[in-house]
Amino acid sequence: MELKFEQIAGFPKSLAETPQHFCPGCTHGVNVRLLAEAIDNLQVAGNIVGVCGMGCSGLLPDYLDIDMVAAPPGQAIPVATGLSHEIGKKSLVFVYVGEGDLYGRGLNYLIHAAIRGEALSVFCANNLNMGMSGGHLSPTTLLGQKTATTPEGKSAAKYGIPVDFTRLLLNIPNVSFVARFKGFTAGEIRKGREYIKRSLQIQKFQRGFSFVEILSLCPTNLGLPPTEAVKLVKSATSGIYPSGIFKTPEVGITL
Amino acid sequence: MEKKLLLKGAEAIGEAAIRSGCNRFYGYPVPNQSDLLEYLVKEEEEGRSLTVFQSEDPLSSLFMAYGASIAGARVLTAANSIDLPDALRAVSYFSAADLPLVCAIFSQSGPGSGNIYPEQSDTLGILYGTQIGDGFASILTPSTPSDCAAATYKAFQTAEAYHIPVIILVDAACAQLVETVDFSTISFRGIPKNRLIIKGKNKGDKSTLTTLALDIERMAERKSALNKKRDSFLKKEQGSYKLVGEGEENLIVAFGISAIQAKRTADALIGNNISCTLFEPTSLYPFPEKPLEEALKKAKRLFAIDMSNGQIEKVLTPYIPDSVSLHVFSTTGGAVPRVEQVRQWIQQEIQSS
Repeated sequence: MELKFEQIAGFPKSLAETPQHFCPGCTHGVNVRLLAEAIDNLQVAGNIVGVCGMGCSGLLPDYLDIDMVAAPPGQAIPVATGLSHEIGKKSLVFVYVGEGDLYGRGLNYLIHAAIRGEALSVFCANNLNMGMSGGHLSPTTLLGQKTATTPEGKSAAKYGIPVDFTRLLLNIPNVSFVARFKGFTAGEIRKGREYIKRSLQIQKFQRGFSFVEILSLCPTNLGLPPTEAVKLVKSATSGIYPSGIFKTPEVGITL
Repeated sequence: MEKKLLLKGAEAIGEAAIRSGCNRFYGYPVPNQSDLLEYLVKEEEEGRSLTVFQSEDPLSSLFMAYGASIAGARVLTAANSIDLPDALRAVSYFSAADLPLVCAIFSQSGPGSGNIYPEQSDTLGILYGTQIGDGFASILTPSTPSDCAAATYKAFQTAEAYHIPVIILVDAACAQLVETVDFSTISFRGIPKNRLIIKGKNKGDKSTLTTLALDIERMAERKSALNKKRDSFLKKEQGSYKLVGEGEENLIVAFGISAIQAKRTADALIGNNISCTLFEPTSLYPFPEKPLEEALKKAKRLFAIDMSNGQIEKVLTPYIPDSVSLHVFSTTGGAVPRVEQVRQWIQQEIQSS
């Protein structure tokens, strides 16, 4: 009897075969792979354009084997909006940005694109600090968390109590899909792959704006070994940044 | 299509843009830009082939234009003096990314919020500001609505031929000036299309666009390519200008609404037996250096008229020989130079020199 082999897992086609420059323990690499897998799974590598922001996400054009644009800081959503207006009928457009960029100088544009229900899949890597600039305070930095600009820990008196920006989007009628997962535990990564896929599918079926936040690790700037960073971020964020699907279209999309 | 239309300067830019094949406009309602935005929305509703989009913020309208331009659209956008830094930021990115852009900038009184009346006090800001990080942009300075239309055609041709940003700098007075614009007299050359367009790789190789270059050598290579592009642009394109009269001792230089007033002043001076040559630069980058130097050869006095604290002086100084004396007439706060005032001033300056 002749044995037949079929590949069921492997190096994603849409992931470029090039060394990545992310720090040890950083989970951007996981996010990039999940994106590549979703793109392969939906067979859309030929008609998808990605827009990344400034910071570590700005390295993405080298790592994904698809058409990509690196946007100026804060401007990923407007750039993607312009692209989507022009090519949205034939191609998918997604955005991959860090939270420092998206919730800081880009927040106005995120909210307005969501209100208009632009045909965009927005993926936000939330690692609780401005990573590439050198570990500075970001809009999602936790109370008491030490960063380069809050060496004694973030104080509520000075910077306020951090807000879950993901769930802020739930008030907006034109948003189709909102979800969040932790990009550093095996179970959640598996779920996250489906969230990313579903977000792209929603766009494919012309259901407008969807948003997935990926809680990510930045051990370098947390000053912790990756295993301890996992433990800390997992317990510290379970209350304020919970995982799960918060909003999904009622009919029409099946996984 | 109607050949003659009664239009404001701002509207003439919009009409000429549609006739140049512009298919997207991103804008924001601020003084003068609103006239352009409203005109284009009206034309869109009437079925012209253009999509108009009002963005949430002036900066995002510029970067939506950036995204659309990357995807192959022929885009027009605009900014007002207050948002000039935003426009210059966008110009820097378009310049770095080798993308075509036509951006109308409406110049009003500043600094700060100022007022909505015309000034030419953004001249140096734009001239130097477009060179942030050694980027560059072509800068056109039309005066009448007909000139605005012609400048728009030229802007799209230049932007698409060299893949660079082009600024149409219009003061608030020219933007509101109404005139019959004859579109049959404005010729239009074809536009080359070969440039990077990102819309999904299909079965080909991937294309990426980033203005980030983390290592020094890669960035230096980019800069040298951009410098070469600028050199070849400056070699092929001469600055445009208008010349009325020739070889007189008195040379008047002005652009924008000041040039219209200068022309009327020159007519008034002829009545008093004083003849003048009028030189109007209709582009600041590239600047019509040689024609100005030629006009200055026979001149003894140069009368520069503008609406700022003498910014035109800094533009002209490098080209003025020692044999020519420079006299500057400036109005500020939003007042347009009055013909009678300028005429008296020129006569006094001639008598006292």
